[in-house]
Amino acid sequence: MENLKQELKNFIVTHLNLEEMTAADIQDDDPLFGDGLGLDSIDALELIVMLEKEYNIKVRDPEKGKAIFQSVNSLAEFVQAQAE
Amino acid sequence: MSFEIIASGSFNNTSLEANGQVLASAAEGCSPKEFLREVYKDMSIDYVKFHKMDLLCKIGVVLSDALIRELSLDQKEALEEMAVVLNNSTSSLHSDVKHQASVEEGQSSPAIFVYTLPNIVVGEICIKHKIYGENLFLVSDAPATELLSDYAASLFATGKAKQCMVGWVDALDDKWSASLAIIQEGSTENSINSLEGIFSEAQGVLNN
Amino acid sequence: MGRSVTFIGAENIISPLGTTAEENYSKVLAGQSGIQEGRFLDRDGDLMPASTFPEKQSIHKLLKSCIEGSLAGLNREEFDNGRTLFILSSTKGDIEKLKDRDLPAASLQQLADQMGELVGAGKSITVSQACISGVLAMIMAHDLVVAGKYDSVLVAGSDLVSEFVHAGFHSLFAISGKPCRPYDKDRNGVSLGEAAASVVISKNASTFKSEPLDFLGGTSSNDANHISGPSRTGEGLVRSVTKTLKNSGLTSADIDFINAHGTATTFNDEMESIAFDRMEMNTTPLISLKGYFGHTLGAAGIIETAISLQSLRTNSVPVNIGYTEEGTSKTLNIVTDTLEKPLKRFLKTASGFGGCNASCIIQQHEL
Repeated sequence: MENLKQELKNFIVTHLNLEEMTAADIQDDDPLFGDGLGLDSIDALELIVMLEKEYNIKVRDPEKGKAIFQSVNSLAEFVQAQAE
Repeated sequence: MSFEIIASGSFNNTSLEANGQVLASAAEGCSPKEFLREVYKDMSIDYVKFHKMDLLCKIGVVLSDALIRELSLDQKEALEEMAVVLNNSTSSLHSDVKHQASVEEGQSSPAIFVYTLPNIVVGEICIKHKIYGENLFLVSDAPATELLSDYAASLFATGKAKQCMVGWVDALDDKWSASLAIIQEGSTENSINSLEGIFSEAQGVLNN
Repeated sequence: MGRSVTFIGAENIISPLGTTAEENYSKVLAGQSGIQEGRFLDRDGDLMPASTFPEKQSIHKLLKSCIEGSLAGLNREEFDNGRTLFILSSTKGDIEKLKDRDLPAASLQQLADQMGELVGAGKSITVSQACISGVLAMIMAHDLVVAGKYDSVLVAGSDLVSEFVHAGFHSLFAISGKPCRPYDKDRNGVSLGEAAASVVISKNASTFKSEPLDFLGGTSSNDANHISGPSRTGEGLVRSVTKTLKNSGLTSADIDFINAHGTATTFNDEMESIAFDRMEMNTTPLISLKGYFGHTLGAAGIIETAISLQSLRTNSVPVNIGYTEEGTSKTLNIVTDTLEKPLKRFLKTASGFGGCNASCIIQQHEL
């Protein structure tokens, strides 16, 4: 799970062009949207693309994305659950 | 109609200049990408959204920033109603090519797609500086100086705008050429009758 | 500021619904939509509806045919006086040329020049401002004619439904799996469409073979909020419509109907309801034409205006096809039965990526 979280943080930084940040700057339970990392609606859609490209997971409803992308923790749980 | 230039500047892959002063020059051997990164840091632009923007928008934001920061307090207060009228030759080709490539790979990135319209640079400038005024984006092989001049004059004559940011912002791969001016209706001895002088450095970046 | 008027007419439309403005209008009044199921395969391998031609089109040929139709509506000896401009309204032009890596051929200027030559215009330019391109091009034409820079301007718009565009909209989850339903409770995205449309804006009514309408010009405004999401308060749209009404010396009560943007995305239509509510235009009859033509991007402002020119000519307003139940937080007076009554003037609005909004007013010709 820890490896997955680290990997996800790296993907977040690279896929979202977060140039002034590194994976180390993202805490597992930091809110990704709103006040946390300040990501917006396009970033949410971009994370959906990331899930498909890197994990072959297809999210068909962007509304569901809100819960999945709450934090690295929720994202990792979701990815883990899909693998099972 | 004659215009008064409140601020003007140009930006290409070797130098950034505003109001007659060179603000940045690329060092010998410095790549355009590195130069842009340095300019962003040296100008203390400090704008998180910058890194998500495509090249065209980054260039437009850097140069417009360089002009806007030199405005007087009164002029900054009038920004809200400023018209933003821009022009280029390649439209959004820089992002179009990236989007096309990802489409051919069976993937399309929303973050790239939203930049496949040339007027997004107008939007980014308006968002950063809270500008609610008139917008226009024209595409032409060379600066449409006469049309831009006629259109700006008409904005002033009809009262649709009191100030106008007008200019050329073109970018493709690692080349860019931007010339901008903030103008208003002019009646002093320094007023100009044509915008040609503003575009003397402006170039199309395709096949250049 | 006194009201400045130009004349607008010689409208033409080439769409899956027909090859003249009149033909398109009669199909629209009869409730026919150009949107059909199964028109393209999306990224997920699903068949999607769209308003597309039965055969693949060349944007050059489409624009050429359309412009020829508009030119046929003009008294050429009046139009061809050496003081004409051609404006192309397009978001992507011949973008398919990117597949061949033919960058210059994808150039908008090349397309504008070719059409400008056909028109015999002294100059050609492209307005590329996302979905407001068409409305903005007409506003620019009006302003330049009023300023005395040109006597007549032919404005033509077109975009095709290309893989480039539908793949992009797909990544934004913006395309509906069913024909779009502007303002409806169950709306869930756009239907794409392709078409060409053209109009002429002129200083002289005598330029036109059939009586023109009066164009009062318009304005644009940016939301200053987000590059792809509409403002939650409809700020730019409110500012533009307020300015447009003020510059025309009119109030919202003077507008007989609104030809709005209505793309059928959750956010756009909601934003428009908030904007029109802020301007107290909840009871003004309002339609989106996107249920008939789909979202035609660069052609949208022109094709939709051309339809409303026909509305003024025939004193009728077609229904907002695709709408059955209120779906916005603020009430709008969506037209659900064809309106047949004397009509004086309409407001056309458009909103687009980049946070831009535009509006203009057209009315019956005042003799």
